[in-house]
Amino acid sequence: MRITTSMMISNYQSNLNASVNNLNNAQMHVLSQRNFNSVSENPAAAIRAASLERSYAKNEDYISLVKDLHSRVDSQESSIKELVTYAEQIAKDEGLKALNGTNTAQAKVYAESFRGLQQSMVRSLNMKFGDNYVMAGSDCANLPFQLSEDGKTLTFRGIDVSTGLDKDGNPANPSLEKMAKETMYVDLGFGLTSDASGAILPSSAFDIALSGLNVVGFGKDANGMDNNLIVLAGQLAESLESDPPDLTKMESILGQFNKGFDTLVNAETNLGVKSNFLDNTQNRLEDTAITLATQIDAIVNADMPTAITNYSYAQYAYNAALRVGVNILSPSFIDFMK
Amino acid sequence: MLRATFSGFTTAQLAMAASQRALDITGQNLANVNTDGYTRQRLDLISFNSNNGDYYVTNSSARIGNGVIAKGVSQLRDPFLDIQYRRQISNVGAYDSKDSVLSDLAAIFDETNKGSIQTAFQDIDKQLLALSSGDGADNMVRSSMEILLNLIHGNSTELSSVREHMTTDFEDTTQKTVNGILNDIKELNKSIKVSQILGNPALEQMDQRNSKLDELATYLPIDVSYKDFDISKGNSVSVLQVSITTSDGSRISLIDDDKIGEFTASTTNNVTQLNVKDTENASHQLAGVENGAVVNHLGSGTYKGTLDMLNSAGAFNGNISSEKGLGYYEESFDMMVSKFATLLNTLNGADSPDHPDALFSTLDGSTDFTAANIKISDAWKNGTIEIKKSMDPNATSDDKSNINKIQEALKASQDFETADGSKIYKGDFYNFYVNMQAVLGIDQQSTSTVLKNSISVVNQTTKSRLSVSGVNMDEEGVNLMHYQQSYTAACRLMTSLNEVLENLLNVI
Repeated sequence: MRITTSMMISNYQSNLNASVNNLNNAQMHVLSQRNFNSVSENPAAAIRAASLERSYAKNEDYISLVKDLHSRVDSQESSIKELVTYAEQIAKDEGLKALNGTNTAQAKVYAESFRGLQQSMVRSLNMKFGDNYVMAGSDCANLPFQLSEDGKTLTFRGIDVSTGLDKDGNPANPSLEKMAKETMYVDLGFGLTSDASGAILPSSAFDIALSGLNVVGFGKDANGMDNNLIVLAGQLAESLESDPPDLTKMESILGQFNKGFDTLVNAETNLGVKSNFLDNTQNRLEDTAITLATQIDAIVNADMPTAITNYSYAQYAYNAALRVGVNILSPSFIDFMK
Repeated sequence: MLRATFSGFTTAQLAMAASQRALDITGQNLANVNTDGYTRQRLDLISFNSNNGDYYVTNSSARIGNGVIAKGVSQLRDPFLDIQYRRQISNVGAYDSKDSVLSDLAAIFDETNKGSIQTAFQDIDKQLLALSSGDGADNMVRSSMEILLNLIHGNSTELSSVREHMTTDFEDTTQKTVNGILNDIKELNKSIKVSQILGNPALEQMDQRNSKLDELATYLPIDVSYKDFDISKGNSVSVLQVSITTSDGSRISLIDDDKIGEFTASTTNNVTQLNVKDTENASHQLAGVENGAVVNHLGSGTYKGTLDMLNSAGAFNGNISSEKGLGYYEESFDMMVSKFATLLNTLNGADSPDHPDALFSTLDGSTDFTAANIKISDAWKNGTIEIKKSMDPNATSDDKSNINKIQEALKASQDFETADGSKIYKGDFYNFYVNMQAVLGIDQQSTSTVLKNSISVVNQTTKSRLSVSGVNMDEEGVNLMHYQQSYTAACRLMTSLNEVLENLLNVI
């Protein structure tokens, strides 16, 4: 094959260009510290990286949400602890003392104390965390519980908790039972899904709602006795205020109160379980964050030693090509003619 | 037969002239060693003998030739390599134009280094999650939607400017260039023919014409042939004929001696039509809409690449296996935006963009959302409405069931299909956008690989061409010496003959 001058020059130019291209690519990898700088360089890795980055961002969102929810559950817990203290005072301390032989004057003192504890318990039930009432079920913007002046009626959203009737005397709609079952589901990464009717599946989200109705009881039992601790406390005070104090009535009310107290303690335990669950979830999410970060790093970030070595080699090849260029326009026959 | 006394001088004279011409040609080759498209020239020398046989007398004297004649100058060029080169360069043209459009698209959509729309989607998820847990605010979600819409508008504007730029460039600049080339070839044809009839082989002009043909071959898949044109009985010159063979087999004559065709392009409804008038003035449509479908009859060349990118939209204009041009990405993007807006509006209880509960509405009042016309509805923007937390009219203040529903819907797999049911993608919005980038990236990768291959084949062919037609300085240097010596030898002959005759003349 004949070799001509222009052929040699065009050959050299195209090879030098290829060498410069390689150098440029190697340089980009070192400077950006990424394995690929555009989707076309490595489409599969780019898709994987986009998916992982999204999972990582969502994970971070969940972690911050979990911490938030944990604080809310903590405040719910502290509110219940207060209630337990007050209820204990009634059930295990003053109530028993009042039962065991008191005269009218002492009974009146206990009655005052019970009335006071009623108020305290309602205050605990109406505890706020930020702008939200923590024991208001799913209506956290509005004050849930209100005690009447005479301490006989406790209303939850205007509904009498003993009778279930609203202020006009009509049965409430939705009923107290329904209100006690209210949920506030929050997505914590358990795959929030709803069933065919549009209701969220309980196993796919976290329920942050806590209704005070479930904590202190509501309605009446089979024997017609109130279940609500605050109403019962009022009734205890009432029986002590009568002249003489009606100790038999008080004993039966106290028995009912103790049942309610057990429910209260159970509610506290349940909250403890929820709190634990949030702790575990937070740990799991934080572990996942590390795993995802490692995966993203492996796919996206360049292995610096390899990238730098490639760059050095590309530079060496380029310098060699430049050196060749000096010799490419070699002397020809004409230089040797006389 | 007696020898003419002075006949030797003619031989020497002819030898000197021939050597001189040969030196001139060598000079011409050396001077043009760097000229693009130059084909090396060679002097055709023939030796001649004007002695005939004797009719009437038989003679025993030797018949000696009368010297050398420079018959003419010819080019060393391999026409087969030209055909090969033109075919390859036409492939390069097609993939190169496609590659450049895909790069423009990647500059808009590729989020490897910028992460804008993807980040906006992630932010919307975050704000919705905050809203659902009771800590977020509606205006935070709204502002993250505004960011998303701004980015969408930005992309849409850039997409339409790419299309506008390409269309104007194709309709004006490219057509002018190609018609200009055709015109130049016509002029060259005329002048080459005249020169050749008058006896001048017009080699430099032929080189020029070949360069122009190479340039034309980048744009279109051309077939070059030479026809013999008789000037008189037994004498002919060759004239150039160029035609295009379309992908359905028909041949359109573009250049026939001094008659040329003309290209025109126009655009309607985002489809660019390319028409060509052939040498007989008959009009043919090379690309555009035929029987309701978008077609492109060109098999290769820059025209094919550009027209495919402008006109074809993959599954969106009817053919799943056709090229994914600008239209594919425009329509995919519009589809994503439309589905997103419609879904959110529906979840908020609005069945059309002008419903009072609509979160998104259109800038131009139409009922279809596109990337260019989507906007946050005025009611949402000035706070008249908010994202409905619950669809239950008796909902309690913290019933966030609708927010949960929205989150669920945004994570659910949507069916992205064209109007006639071809499946584009199944997945959520974020993954749809990632998939768009992936389709683009894969297309880019494959186009640039094929382009690299085509370029390396073209380089091979160029090398072969240069090997045959290029100037080698060593060869020319040897030729210089060679003809110099022959010139000296001819002069020597002249002086020897002179001396010989002098002797004779001195005797007389």
